[in-house]
Amino acid sequence: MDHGLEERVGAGRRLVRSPAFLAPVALIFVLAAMAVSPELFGAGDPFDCSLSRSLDGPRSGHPFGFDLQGCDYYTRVLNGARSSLAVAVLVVVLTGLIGIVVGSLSAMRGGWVDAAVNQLTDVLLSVPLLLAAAFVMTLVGDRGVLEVVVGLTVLSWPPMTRLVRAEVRSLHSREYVDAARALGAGKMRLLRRHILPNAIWPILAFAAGFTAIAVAAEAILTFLGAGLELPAISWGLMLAQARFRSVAAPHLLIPALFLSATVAAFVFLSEACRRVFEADD
Amino acid sequence: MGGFVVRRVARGALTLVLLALLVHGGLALLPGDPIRALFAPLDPDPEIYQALRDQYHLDERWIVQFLIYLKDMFTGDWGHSFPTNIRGGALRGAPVMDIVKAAGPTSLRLIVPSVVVQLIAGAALGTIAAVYRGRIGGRAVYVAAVALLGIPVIALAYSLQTTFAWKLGWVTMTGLTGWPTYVLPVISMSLTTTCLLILFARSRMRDVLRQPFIKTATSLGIRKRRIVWIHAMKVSMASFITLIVANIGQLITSLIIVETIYSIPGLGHLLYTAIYDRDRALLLAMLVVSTGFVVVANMLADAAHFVLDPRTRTGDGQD
Repeated sequence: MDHGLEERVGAGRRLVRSPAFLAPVALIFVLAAMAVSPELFGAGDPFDCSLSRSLDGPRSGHPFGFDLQGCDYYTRVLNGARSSLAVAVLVVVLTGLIGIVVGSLSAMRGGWVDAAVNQLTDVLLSVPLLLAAAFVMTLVGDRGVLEVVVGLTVLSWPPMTRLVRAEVRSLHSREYVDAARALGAGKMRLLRRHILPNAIWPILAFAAGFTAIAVAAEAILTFLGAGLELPAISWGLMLAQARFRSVAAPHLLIPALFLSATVAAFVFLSEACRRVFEADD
Repeated sequence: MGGFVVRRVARGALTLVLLALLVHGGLALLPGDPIRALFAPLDPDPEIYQALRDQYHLDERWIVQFLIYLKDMFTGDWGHSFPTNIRGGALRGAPVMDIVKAAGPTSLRLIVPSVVVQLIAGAALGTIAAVYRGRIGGRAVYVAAVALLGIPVIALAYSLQTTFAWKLGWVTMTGLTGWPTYVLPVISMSLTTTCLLILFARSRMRDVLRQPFIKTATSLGIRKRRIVWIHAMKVSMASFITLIVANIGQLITSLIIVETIYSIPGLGHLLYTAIYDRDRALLLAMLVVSTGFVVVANMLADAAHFVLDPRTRTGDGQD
């Protein structure tokens, strides 16, 4: 059962003060701080490595032990937050922009534009994302954050576009929008002042959930050897290194914990946002 | 019903042709000579070079190439993986069809139980969460589903393997030998979609249980348990199947990760090696073939809707 639009405003105000919203937001803030400045959390130089301590376990001053190259793992893991969040946030911002522009256009114009957008999204939605990304990325040499972001964005913009299109279409036929139209509001004004602001919670909920997917996608792509490449510092690369070595050195799996915490934070945030527009206790 | 089937199949076929067009057109636009790139940095022997150009019809016009490609895909000639010893004169690697036939059954032994677990666990737990939503049990299922949704398959597969196979030594760490070795890979493959289905089934069941036909059934004196698990479940089942089919991409991702981490020699493991070997021919063929499976699975899901939920047959009951 959907909340009406009036209830959404009240539910939104209540949400931003509720722990279901504040807890994941706090965790995301910590992770973002980690991404911006790992030094704040006591990380040293991620390239200060010595093979003599390769795969050594945790000890005092080095709580997470050392990786294969003998680098301090605590430092590496904290630095890994940067590429993870950078890729995810950029992908979500870009797919969000594409989704809002293309989705609104498709819904407001209708006709052949709508049909073309629908057909194209139909095709891309049938393609398994990770498999397609793995193929596209093997065509690209020297893959950095930018390359991975472009690859993931090109393949994953349809769901957000579909969502925006559906929201705009449904709000477009509401009475209050008709009223504004009768008062002489142009299409752009209708969209900016009356339609998109009311679609904000579904879009936010989707964006948060999609951030979780993008974080996992980057790690998995990188793990498979089709994402970021050394010398980049990424949880996916660390987990690839842990393959076959996790028995001798279980501390190599610590990035999996950080990865899960990041994904979980965005999943919980998405659920909290969803409850604003779907009456749910 | 005839019209429904024809329209649905036409839509699926159009999707596949458009995908082939995107892929084929995109690759044709890439600069450089694909055969020379195979041999780089060496120069190919002129005879082998021409033989390869003929084999891939590269001297034909683009539209002819595209039509040959379409014909081959639909007749089961899915292309070849890159030859492993091209400089030794091999013109083609193993046919993709043979590779799928050889490694496919191993993967199916993971996919089938995973889908069954997803459907049963997701539908049952989601229904429990919907029926007992105000109470501690329902809330626990809901919160657990959201929390477990946050564990990516890569983290899950590793931690299960390390904890249960290595630390506790309950099962072997790799391979599929006997049913206990299926437990960890299947759990790793099913968890994410199961949690998604729990959340979906929870809100779906809640809506269904508010519908008039449930009230009718209650007033007829049918027991509540029967109403929930037989009547409401039957109406909702088609949408649950649709959700699982919509997450085939997730299933394929999980298959690659799980087969890689547990060293199971199926299609997923093969894709992992294909990425490392830069075997683009195999990757591309598998991408197109698996998209074909997604399209077919979507059609089957629609057919399930048609059979299980009579309201969709009129064309206006779709939600």
